[in-house]
Amino acid sequence: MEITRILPEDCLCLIISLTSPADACRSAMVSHAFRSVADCDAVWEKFLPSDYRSIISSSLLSLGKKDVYFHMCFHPILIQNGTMSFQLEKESGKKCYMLGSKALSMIWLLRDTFMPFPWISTSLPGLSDRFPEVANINLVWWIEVKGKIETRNLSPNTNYVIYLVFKLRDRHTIELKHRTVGLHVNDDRVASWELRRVLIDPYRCEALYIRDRGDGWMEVEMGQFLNECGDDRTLEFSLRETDTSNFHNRGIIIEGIELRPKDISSLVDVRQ
Amino acid sequence: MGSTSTKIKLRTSDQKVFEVEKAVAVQSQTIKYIYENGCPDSVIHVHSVSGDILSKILDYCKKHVNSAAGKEDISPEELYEWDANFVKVDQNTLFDLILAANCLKIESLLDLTCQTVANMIKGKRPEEIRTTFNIKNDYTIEAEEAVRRENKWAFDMLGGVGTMVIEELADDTMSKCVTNAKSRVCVIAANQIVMMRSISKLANKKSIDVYKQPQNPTTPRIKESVKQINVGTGFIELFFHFKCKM
Repeated sequence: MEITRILPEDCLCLIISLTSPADACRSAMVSHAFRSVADCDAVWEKFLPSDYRSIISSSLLSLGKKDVYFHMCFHPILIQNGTMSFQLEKESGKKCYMLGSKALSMIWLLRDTFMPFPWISTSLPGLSDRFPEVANINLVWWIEVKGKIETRNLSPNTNYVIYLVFKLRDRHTIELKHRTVGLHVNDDRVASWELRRVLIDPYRCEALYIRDRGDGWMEVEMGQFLNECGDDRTLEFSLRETDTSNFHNRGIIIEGIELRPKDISSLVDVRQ
Repeated sequence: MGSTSTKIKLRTSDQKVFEVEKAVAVQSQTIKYIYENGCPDSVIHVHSVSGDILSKILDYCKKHVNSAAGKEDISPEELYEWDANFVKVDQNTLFDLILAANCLKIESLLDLTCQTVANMIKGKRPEEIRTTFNIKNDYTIEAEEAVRRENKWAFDMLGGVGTMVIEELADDTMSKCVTNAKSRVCVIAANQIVMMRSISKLANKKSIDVYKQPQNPTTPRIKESVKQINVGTGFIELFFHFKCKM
């Protein structure tokens, strides 16, 4: 007698819900009986964040929970007046956020001047699938981009990695402009912060930190943050030009800053 | 019989009678309900559970009750180890334990046993799951292809040649962490440099044990050496070079 005949459905659903979304999808291929368990609402309800009902639109609530899950993974939802996007990370069901340029604070110094300008909307519409506008920053001498998020909005017990999502203009010029930026992530309980110096130049950089996202944008890792349970802090992250000797900056287009769970394949909890 | 230790009698499906302390027996919500709503002096029938299984379950309940009440000097890590050994049984016994825990409504045992089965499924390909549980593949070739296409992304993630189990042993600051996830399992490829931060509060970690579990779950796991440990603000970074045979 095999397992699907011995154990009742609610036990089988509990077992699958203790694996992971990826495992649930793979186990659907085992047999028909496994598939009906793996596609159960009871299983996917456990993979969804506990507050999913308040996040998605009510029209989606009539769908099966597996469909709701994948909808939340592949269709980012705009929140906070369209300045931030939210979706689930498909392998783990954890929350991902991207703060669009309107949710960030940016200060820069224009060439030949020493006065900081407040952020004005020099924005380019139509460049991003996600946000109506992105920030187009050109010919700056020095720049600082800052963002913050409340940790209670993040999934608990998760290692988050923070990425700056950007494009360089004029990628085809021979003399490639590059700048060193200091990226740091800190929360208001930690006295010091992690400072990382990265060259924003995808053609000659530490490949460890800069990648092509595959959607037309690049991303550079700014830092990592461990979000524990029951924390109520504010996480701040910023990008700051540290090499001020270089004022031939060509310009950078920023889609936003993304926070997503650390991508280690099948990192799962054995005991929860 | 002292007034502090009320006993309850339980009769199993194979007519064995067990006399247990009330505090142990009422770990089962089912028994608790029957006891509180029925006649407390008569014997409670647990029809669907055999004597062998009930005996094991009562061991579990007794251990957990004694540990919670402080009657037994056992640390959270030791209890965790005890639980891990408790579920090292053959599949049929494991399924019997699940059925009994479900019917007797013992939540922590149900979670423990179901998590054990879940661990036999995690990170595995469908063929491997079939082998583990002796399941017949009842898909036609076309249907199987269709389901595989539907779930393609879940297969892109596989590729590791084994799982790495990282168990954290530490000083007494770990007592809170026992109830949170303590072990990390990650599927990694050969010759991959793995950098992982462990997700738990770490004050003064004494040691980290890293094990490599070959894909065949019956092969015993092998201890790896950890090259470097950095203690950061609230986490530990482990760097190790994991080499294994293909």
